[in-house]
Amino acid sequence: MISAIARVERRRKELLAIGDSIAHQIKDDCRYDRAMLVDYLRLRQMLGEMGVCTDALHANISEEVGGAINIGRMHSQLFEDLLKAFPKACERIDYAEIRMGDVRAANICINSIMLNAGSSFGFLQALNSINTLARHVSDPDFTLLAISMLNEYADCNQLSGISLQDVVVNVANMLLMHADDKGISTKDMDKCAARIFAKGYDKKSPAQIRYKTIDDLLSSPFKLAGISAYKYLNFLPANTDTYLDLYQDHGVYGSEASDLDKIDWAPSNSVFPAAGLIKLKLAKGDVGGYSEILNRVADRNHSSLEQVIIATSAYPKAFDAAFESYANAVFSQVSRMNERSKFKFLALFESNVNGALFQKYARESGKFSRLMLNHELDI
Amino acid sequence: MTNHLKNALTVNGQLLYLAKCISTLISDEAPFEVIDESIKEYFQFFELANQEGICTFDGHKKASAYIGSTLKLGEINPIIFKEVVRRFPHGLTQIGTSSAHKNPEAALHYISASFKNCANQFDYESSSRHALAIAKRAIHDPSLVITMLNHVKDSFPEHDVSAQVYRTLLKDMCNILFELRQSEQKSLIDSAIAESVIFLANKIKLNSNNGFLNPEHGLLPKLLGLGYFDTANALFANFYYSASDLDDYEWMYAEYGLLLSDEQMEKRLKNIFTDDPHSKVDLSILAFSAASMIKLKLKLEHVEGYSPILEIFNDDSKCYLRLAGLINKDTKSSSVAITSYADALFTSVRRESTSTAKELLGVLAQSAFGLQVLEAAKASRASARVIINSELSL
Repeated sequence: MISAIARVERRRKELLAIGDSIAHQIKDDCRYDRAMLVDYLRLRQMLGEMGVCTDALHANISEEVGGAINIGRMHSQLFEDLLKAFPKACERIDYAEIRMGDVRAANICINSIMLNAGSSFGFLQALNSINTLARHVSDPDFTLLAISMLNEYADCNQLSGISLQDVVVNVANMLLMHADDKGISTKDMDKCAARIFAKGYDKKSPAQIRYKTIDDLLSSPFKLAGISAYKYLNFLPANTDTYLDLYQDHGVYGSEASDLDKIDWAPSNSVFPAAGLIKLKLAKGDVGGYSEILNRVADRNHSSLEQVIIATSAYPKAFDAAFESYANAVFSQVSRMNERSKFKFLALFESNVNGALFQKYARESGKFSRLMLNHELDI
Repeated sequence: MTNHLKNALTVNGQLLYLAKCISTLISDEAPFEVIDESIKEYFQFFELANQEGICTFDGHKKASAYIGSTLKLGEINPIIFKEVVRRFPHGLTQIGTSSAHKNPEAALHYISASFKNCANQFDYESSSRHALAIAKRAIHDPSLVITMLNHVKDSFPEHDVSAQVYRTLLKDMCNILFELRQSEQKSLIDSAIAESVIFLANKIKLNSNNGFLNPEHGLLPKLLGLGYFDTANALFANFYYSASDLDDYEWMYAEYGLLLSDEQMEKRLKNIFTDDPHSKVDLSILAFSAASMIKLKLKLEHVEGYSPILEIFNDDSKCYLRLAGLINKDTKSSSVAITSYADALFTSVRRESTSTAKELLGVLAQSAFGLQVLEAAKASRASARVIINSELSL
């Protein structure tokens, strides 16, 4: 007598055999017998109705099918139907095999990837797959679709800061891929990218898009996206001239309050951005706002304050209103210090290129002339 | 694409939400129709997601596990339980089974479902152990236990299960049945014991006794002690057992009166040798079993049945020497039995080389029993010729 369990086992083996055949057909001929796929789905449904769970088996077969697919050689409709039957297959497909300009296949892929991101495979893996697709299809319309789908995904899901950071970097790279395309409409892409960069800021992500990427975006046709990236994203300047260079090269700068909020004021991290912002303000001729920066540095660490002052003291080129404002902020900090620290700070100006400007300011100001006189008498 | 299916995370969340609704209805003891409606709603959404090409593997698994974790086998309407288990087999492993005794019908569904799904949810061993554990501690209805045991038997796969699993199952199953012997359905239990023992004994192809002969806990002594003589005999005859001690067969005869017929002895040796190509039973180990059988036959003064045993070793002349050496020691028998054994031994050796025959003479000359065998062999013309030829070439 064949028991119910033996029947189940036989059916399960049959399901595996059909699945294997489909995978082998795909591997050998880049096509499959539709009737076989229908048989497979029917058998799976029948087993489900019998109370037999075939999920694990189906997942294995799906992975095998995914590994057998060559999207560059498979008919789009066959491919689409296959992905609907085996959604988990999208994890294993080699997206680099897509043909350049095959937007139809790319659209099918990205739909499947986005539908299954998070459930079938991890979001970051999905993001990598999308990036691979975009690079190989190399079509601006597809890139725009990819960015807009990522936006939609980010709208619907609670992405972690790290995931958002990856999205932002990937989107920036996708945009830059089209930097040399002549005649593409940048408006939609700019708008789309700006939305996703704004999300990075809204979610207080630790996104650290590199200066070079922002510089590249600003130099590309996607200048508005670059400005959004600059405006919305935190980044750790690579040197104190970062803000200054972006201002001088591209004319971009953030709002003072948001820039200050973005800086990580931990002593080891704040020197470059604080000094960079001061240089930017001096270059723009800003009057006021320097004390706020120096106060935040001084609150944490005197040694950082010293480094910020050293980093910026060589920069002022003229005795203008902006410099006077900055010098006032510096001496206000110095005057609050103990004698030893004061001496150390004022001695900084002795050896500094533009130290004479600071000394001149101190001597001529009513507020700090005594400070300077005492220092000179001590020497 | 519908709003619901915008992305897979939403789908997974929705599946879990619907699963929670189903669980709440079950725990609130809602009517079956209401629960069924809710299950249908779940699967409509599930099917829709599948049609869209969304992988529901993780979401459905989590939803099923959630439903399973809120079910208690002893406290659920069997009809609802059957339906839930059928639709959410992934949740099986999460179901609480400690109160199974309160609900034998649901327990039966549970066991049936777990065996149906054992290939991809739990491994076979844990499925059968789980089923046995429920049978053992929770269910006092012998017919249900037997039905469950039949599930266990029916579900034996043809491969991929270790002898260790079968062995443990055999022991556990019989112990459950032993405990139920006093019930009103004794005849049913007795035949279940017999069937289970024989079924499993046939599945176990081992070359050691694995504790079945242990006087205190062994299955064989227990069966005999409880009066299951026929079953014990059948187990002994079917069980692929290779003696670990030269006195094993003698001991089993003396202790329990178990004696294999000549055909059974031959069958056992051949089966150990041929039925389990993976175990690669060493002929020299098999010779140990054969020697043990021949010693018992000699002791019982059997006058026939030696040749079939010896012929199994046709391919390995050294085994004859080993056999003869093992049998030589402390063996006593009647002259008629010794003559029969000598005939069989020399008939086999005649096919071997003269040097093997020479070595055999040397082995036999080492004990009083061996000399008796030699004397008996000389009475036969064919055997005497072997002896003379060998002596001439010495």
